[in-house]
Amino acid sequence: MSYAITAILEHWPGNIPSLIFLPGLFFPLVVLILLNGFYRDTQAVEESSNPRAMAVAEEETVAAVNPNLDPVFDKQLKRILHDEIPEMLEMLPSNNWHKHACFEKGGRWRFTFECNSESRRFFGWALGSSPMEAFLITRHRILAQIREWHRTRFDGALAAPAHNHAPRVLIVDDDVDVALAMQTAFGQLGCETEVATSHEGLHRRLLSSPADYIFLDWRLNGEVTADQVVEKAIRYIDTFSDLREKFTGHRPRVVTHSVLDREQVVLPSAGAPYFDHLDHWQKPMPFHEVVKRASQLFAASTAATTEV
Amino acid sequence: MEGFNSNDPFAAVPVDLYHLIPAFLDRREKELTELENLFNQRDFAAIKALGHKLKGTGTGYGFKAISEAGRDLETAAIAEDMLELRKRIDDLKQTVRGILEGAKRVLGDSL
Repeated sequence: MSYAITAILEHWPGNIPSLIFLPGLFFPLVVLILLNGFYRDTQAVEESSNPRAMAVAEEETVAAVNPNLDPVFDKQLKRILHDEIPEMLEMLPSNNWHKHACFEKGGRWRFTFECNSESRRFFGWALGSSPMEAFLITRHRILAQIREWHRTRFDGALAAPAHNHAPRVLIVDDDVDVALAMQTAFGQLGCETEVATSHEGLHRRLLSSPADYIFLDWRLNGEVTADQVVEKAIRYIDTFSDLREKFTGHRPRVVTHSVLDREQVVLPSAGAPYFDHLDHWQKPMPFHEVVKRASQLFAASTAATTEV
Repeated sequence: MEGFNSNDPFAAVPVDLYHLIPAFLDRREKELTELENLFNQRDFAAIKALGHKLKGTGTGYGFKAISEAGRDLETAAIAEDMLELRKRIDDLKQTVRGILEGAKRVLGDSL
């Protein structure tokens, strides 16, 4: 038994007309798909300027097509529609139209996603043993395209970035889980990342890294604090002229993160010519918040540099 | 991000982090073993440090229950309350087990 589901578009002006017309559009669509053996490479397409409203309509469509859908798959589909796709859309260029489809045939699920904007087309599809698996693989492919898109934007004249490359980020955190989550977040934003999880030799890492941004955990391995590491690095910079030249010419922006609040986290003032203590993030921070704040931070830094 | 089912411990996990979940859970299981050893040695300082770490780790992955369990563990370790610690360790085991089940449902063979 196959099940056909969904498709979404944006930019149909006006939410109310969408809500009125959608059920009418979906019913014949569902009948058509059923009559055709539930399988078509080209999926049904509807438009809406309100993805959330559309998601509700989709949910109803799923129930109408298959009231006996496995609850696990049902749950995954709802999650994809309600949370994951809207989140993915936020990463894509504005002024786009998009569609997606997910259906099952012969025990395999297929997910397709396409997004077109004035500047770029994003497209991916995948097969999986569940809707979520198919979605995840597709998403992985779309994210790779988004990263590529970001790279192009950073290199382009329009963005006028502070540096002629994707932002390079050094993540320092003794908690490997936190470090990897941050790496994933920054990777999504098109950054080149490197991770350090040990305080040993960390000052040397700070000195040798080409990072534009350093995300610095305050307490490392319960033994050392970030200000001690920075202090040590400063001593080296003060001593060696090539390091002084490097750091005065390219001052890394430091974002400290800790359970402590901003007032309790102070980097040595002697480091001001070499490190720009840009921000402080208080832990714990949900993943989406990390993505959001990092995105704002990079955008603000780029804008500030452009103005200068 | 809010999950669509608040009873599912896996519901709030961002999809972007799914690829990290197997190793994440593996580390939590190792920590549980380590926690048992520390409990038997009555090493309150190490238990406190571990609880503190868990407090900071869980939220980023959408596992609020792990952060809360870490916080409770840290508090019990500071109080050096063996009875409370026993209870908190068992609670943490339950939480990790629940997450593991949720992960198996969502990630299937990839876990």
